[in-house]
Amino acid sequence: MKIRNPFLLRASERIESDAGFLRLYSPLILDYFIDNMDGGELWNTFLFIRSSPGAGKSSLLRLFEPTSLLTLLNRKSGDEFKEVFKKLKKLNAVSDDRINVLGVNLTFTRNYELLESFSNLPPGTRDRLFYSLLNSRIITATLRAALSITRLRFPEDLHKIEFKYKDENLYFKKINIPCNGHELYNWAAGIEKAIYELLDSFLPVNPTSIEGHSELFSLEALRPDSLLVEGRSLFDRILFMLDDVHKLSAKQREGLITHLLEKRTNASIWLSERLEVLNNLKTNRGRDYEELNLENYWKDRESKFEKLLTSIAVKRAAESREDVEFALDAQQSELELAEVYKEAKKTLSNTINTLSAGTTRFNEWKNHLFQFEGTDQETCELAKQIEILIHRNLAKSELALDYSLSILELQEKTDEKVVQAARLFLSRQFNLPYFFGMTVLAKISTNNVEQFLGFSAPLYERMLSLNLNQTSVSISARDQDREIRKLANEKWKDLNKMIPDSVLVTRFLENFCTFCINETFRPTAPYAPGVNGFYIDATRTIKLINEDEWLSNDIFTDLQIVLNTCLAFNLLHVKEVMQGKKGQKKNIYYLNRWLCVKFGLPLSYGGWRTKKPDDLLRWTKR
Amino acid sequence: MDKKIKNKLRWDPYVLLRNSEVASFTTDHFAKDAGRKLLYIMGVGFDYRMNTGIRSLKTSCPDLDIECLLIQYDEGKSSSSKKYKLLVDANLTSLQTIVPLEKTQVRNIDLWTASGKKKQRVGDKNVADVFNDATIFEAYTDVIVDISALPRGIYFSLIGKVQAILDEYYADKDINFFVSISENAQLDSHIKEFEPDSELSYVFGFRGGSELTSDEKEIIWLPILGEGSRKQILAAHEKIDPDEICPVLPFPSRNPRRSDALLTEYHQLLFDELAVEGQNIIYVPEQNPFEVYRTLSVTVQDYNDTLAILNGCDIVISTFSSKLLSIGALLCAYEFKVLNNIKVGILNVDSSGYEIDDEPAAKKMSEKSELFLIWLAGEPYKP
Repeated sequence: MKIRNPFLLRASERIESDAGFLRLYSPLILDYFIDNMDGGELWNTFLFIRSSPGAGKSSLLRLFEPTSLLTLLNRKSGDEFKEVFKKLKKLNAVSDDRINVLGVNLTFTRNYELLESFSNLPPGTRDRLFYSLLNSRIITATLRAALSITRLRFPEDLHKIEFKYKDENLYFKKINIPCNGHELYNWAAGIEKAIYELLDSFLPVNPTSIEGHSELFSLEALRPDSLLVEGRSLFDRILFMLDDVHKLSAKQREGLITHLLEKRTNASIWLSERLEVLNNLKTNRGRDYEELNLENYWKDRESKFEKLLTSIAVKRAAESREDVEFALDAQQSELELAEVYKEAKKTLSNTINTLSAGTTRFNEWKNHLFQFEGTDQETCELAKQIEILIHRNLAKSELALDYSLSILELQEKTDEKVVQAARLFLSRQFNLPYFFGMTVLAKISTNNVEQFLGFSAPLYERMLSLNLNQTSVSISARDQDREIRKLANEKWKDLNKMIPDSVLVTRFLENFCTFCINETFRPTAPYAPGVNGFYIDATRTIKLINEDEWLSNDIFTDLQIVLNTCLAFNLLHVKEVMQGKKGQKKNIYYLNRWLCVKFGLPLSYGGWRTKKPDDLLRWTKR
Repeated sequence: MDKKIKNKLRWDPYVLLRNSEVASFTTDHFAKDAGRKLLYIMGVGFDYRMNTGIRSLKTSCPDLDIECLLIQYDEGKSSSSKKYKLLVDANLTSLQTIVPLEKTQVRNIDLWTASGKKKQRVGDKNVADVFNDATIFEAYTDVIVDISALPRGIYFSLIGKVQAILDEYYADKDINFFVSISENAQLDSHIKEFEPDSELSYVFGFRGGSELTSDEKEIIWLPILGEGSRKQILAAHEKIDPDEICPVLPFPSRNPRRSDALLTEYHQLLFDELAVEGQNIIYVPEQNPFEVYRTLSVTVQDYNDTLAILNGCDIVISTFSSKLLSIGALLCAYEFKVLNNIKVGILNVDSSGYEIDDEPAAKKMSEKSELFLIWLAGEPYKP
């Protein structure tokens, strides 16, 4: 059924068919896996997939689920599926005629952490029940996936699966192995139900009646050669995808990861979790595990991300019953803004004349400007660039000889950053549109499809209204800018309804953004086009605190809360940059781009300042 | 009504009393029988209606032997309702003029627990644990739970636990069990909630079946809608991820246009964002929790029958509306929990902060609150 505004539709990932999902899926991220595929290394590495909410973790995992792979196998020659198939084939996930990997997706939204709050259970019992619950859910999910990959029906065909495993460690207590899939499923489901009853009963339940497990043996026991249908193994390997691991309690998460790293089973294990500030592992990346940070991955592929969003917009618009395309003007309307630019031109000329009144150094630049034959918009942009460069020149402390600077020097000094800063300064000074066009909308989306839909839905609503007037549905730059800023303001107002500790968080963000504004709009534009991120220099923490420990020190509790909340709710995102000593990586905390819109800051990356933890803490206080 | 379910409903017929009926009933019920002993369970909070129920009771039955169990909940250091401590103190002082201090016991419960840097709501489990010793009710002929000053995050599990204990251990003793509410929709609209919980979980005792991975069924969501809850509805939707949504609207209602206004408020959310089918809307009377219970129970049964070919369904009910309506949801979930045939879960979105806008006006409004007494167990339900 077609709907009016498909950009508003939520949970499209779930309601979409596998074919629809695959059609929309951009397989670019698979290049990461292909690059790391050396000698099958990918499948033997313990992999963390981390990102902010909505950045594509769950979609990536869905790709490896049996129903997606089956759909792909059936349609591999279709134009829309070719590329994904080719890449998955390179990964050995599929061959031309079969699926090689059994993807088992287990989401940790199911209240495991509840067990932790059962204070009347001894800690040992809680741990045993936690592993029992995990084992039971992994086993049932694997059996379902195995049926799915073999095109058998659930639950009718469970008995067709044979489970053969040498239970030398006596993991399986209340079931005889070997057994069929039906027996195994019922045994595992029984454990889950018993634990669930314990967690939900108003009346006392005896926990000792539930089969407790002391380790996560399911990953070891479930192997391609232990799950057979008609005596044959039907896949080469099992990929366990544990999604939303951050939803476990801290103790459970740490216990699980330690257990998995120590056990080192032959299974392929991916753990996907939300990016949080305090989840560093005390193990070595590379040797013990690998990490894929989705936001970092997209960072250098902005044009591809824009292409992906354009494709999503086209497909969503095609679902509308109003038959209206998604169209955004990419340029400002000269006609609409003629008066503003005319006025701006005058003001800028006066400013430059005033600035350079006491010197002849800028005469050639001024002549160049006054004789410039571009449009008013182009002239204003040039004037603003010259104004910034004059400020820079005048700010130099060394004694300048008063000879006229050449046009060549002007051109040399006018790099892309100055051009960008001039546009930003102009828009702020003369209230000109700045946030418009698909490229900008893609940047505002901050590598997050959900955020893109959040901004594009009201824009599409406007296109529907324009369509009613039977005018062009394409929204002008000015209207886009107005609408996008309005949305950012609304999102800001909603923060206190949305996030915990909102007073602390909004105070911190306001202070940080004020700092960014002050740094960005200094007349010399020293960090052109502007500042919208910070780096925490822990070595410069107040002396009494060990530099490695500030994150766990109570003095910094408010800052820890703020940073955690900002990362969890995608208000800040972290990007790794190489800087300083050779190979040294720094984590830069950038504002989510919608916050840049709210505070009129540029959308570029690279503009960050180093701050000490106690500076940041101060921003939470007042 | 569906014949299959008729006569099976536990609370059909039912006893629901309001305003003057409450006073005349309590006079009749308590004053005429000197042997009655009442345990009055209530919350300590800033709500002006905290003492309305117990004051009314004491006025109509001055000689009644009341013991009061006060649930005092700690909302954690970031709770904004701490700023209403003066109102809380005033309520407590006022309570002491109604029930002497020696007849009052206090139980402190934490609403939150911290695991590392993560906070988790545990108030529902903690309040139920207060009643782990089932002998607590031995000395009483009547139990009233007054939820006027209790948050949603607590009273579902509290009422469920008391009812479960009475069913299990006192089935032949006929202890009368009532829920009392001082209801005022206008006043409710002056108490704003903010900072809704980000990590949602099902109410203790009413987790339903939608989180059982081995038993995956279609999930039907019945959100009972109230005003100004867009964010909460979206958060619950994200958590539940339902296959079908049946919004529940209040009608008949004191304001006859209330359900229309709600549809206007949520039109885009329901029909554009969540793709709700128009014919899925359910209407329930605004001031009768038993009718809500009856309607929801029939809906639950019908859905399960229809989806029997797909192994049935799991139901989730969420309440974004008044406490009175939420009791209907609770009764429905409890009934199916006992029957153990269809899993009905309750998922509410609680908030960390409450703010009274226009305190003087709110206080004045509280005087116009309506008192309801919902009789859940005891004499009228004897077989």
